[in-house]
Amino acid sequence: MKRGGWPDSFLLLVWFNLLRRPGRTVAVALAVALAAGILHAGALTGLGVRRALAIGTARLGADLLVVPEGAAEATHTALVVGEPMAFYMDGSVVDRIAALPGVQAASPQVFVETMASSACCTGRLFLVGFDPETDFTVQPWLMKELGRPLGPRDVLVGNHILGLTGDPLRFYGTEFRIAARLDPTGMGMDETVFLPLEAVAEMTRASATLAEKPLAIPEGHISAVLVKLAEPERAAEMARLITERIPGVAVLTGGDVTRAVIRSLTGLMALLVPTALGLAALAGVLLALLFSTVSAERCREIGLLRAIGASARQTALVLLGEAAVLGAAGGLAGVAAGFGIFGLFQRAIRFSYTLPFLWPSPAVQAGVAIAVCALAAGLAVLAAAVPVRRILRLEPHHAIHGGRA
Amino acid sequence: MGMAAVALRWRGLLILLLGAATVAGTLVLDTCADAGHFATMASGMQAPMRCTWTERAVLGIGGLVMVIGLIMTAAHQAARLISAVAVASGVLLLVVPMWLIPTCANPAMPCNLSLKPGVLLLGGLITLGGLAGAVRVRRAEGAPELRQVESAR
Repeated sequence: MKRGGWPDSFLLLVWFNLLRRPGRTVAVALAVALAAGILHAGALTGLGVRRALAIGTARLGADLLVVPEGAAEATHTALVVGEPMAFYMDGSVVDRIAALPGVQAASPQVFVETMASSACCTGRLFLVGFDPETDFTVQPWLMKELGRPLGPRDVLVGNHILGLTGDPLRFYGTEFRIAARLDPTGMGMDETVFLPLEAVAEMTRASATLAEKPLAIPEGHISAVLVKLAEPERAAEMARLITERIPGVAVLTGGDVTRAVIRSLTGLMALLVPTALGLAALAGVLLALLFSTVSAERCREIGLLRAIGASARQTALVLLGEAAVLGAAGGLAGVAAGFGIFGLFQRAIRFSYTLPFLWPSPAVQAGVAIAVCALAAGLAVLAAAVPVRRILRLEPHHAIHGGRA
Repeated sequence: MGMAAVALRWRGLLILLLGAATVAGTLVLDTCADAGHFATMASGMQAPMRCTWTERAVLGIGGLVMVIGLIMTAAHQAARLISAVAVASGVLLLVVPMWLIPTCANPAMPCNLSLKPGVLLLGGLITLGGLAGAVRVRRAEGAPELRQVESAR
């Protein structure tokens, strides 16, 4: 581009016009930034929750999750945000479920929560014991990624658990080693430690002498049964059948988890969307007022520009260019602030609303940021269009006389 | 009132407000109290959680930031130096929960959900406010010299 050419002069003119009243420019840009920031954070939340839900439910791999009656809500929280919990039911439930027609596989899991008293310092972790013989969620991943089953003192950790592969982890006095780390899912699995059922049994026995407080899991009891169906589309029907045939259990389907997450997300969006819309409307009104004032203040200048040969289109371009630059700058500031504040508080939002979350890919994040900036610039141009159109309708000599005939 | 004084007064008020927000937020939310302030050790003894000390340090720095804001509002003689102290206090607020007195290790504890992100946000704003103050004061200080040069011409 030739320096000093039309685009350069145009941008310089826009820039100097905006700097005439820096306080006013900053105030309007801040209003745009507020609306853009909330819009950007809302879009990131929605996209991140959708991504986590898609990856997390696929990684879970089970069509149904059978838990003791009354434990469904706690299980949902554990599945979504990894909040530790422990409850037990008789282990015979696995065989009864496996015997039902339409069940392809059923695998037991035992849930253990680490000591609440040491919560702050070591992290209160959610331990899940799985049966390597029947498991169809963790075991296939292990064989593919690690190439071997877990040893008696090996654990598989979720993506957010602190420590490197090979690092020791001590639970109830028994020391384990991190064998591998799962890919991020954005769901509770990221906060979970997986270990074979045999290791849970050994840890329980050893806790009587090694732990501050012994771990008590009734003999032969389990916490949940993961169920894979021959026909996954019949999940709701099979859930009803299981609760009818086996008393004292509750069944969670993938659809139940998705629906509950969407309900929580709707609750959050009910707060964010009206706020963003209200702020966008306020920013629009401020922009319209600003350009009404600018048009009135610069009426003579615009008239002179027209009189020395500038076309209405060129004059409009300068004024609307100012609006677009102001909107885009406010949008950019809002995107940066929204990203920073959302990044700081995203975990608090996740826990408050029980939402899964996985950052969208960089390309999607960039796309959202560009879209928000473009929207802010578009809104600013629209808000400025009416006053600019009014001033350009005046004859140059009327404009030179301040709009008077 | 000169431009420098107006600039300083606004920035002083901003710093004062941010310091007050740090102190009030820490006192009112008191996230560490939600978790009981104490952890039970393997020996059965109770010890204060790390975030108890983080919270106290944040309270102290918040108070200091308030004083800096007051001085910035009232006294303009050492404006740039005071702005630099505000920047240093902001940076101190940033490093306290991250390195100096880290909050609890468990990311799900209340201190990590609200105290730490809140302090990082306020620390960042105080740092930016201080930097903006320093730059503005430098410009405002330069302005009379420019005017003198203009009048000499």
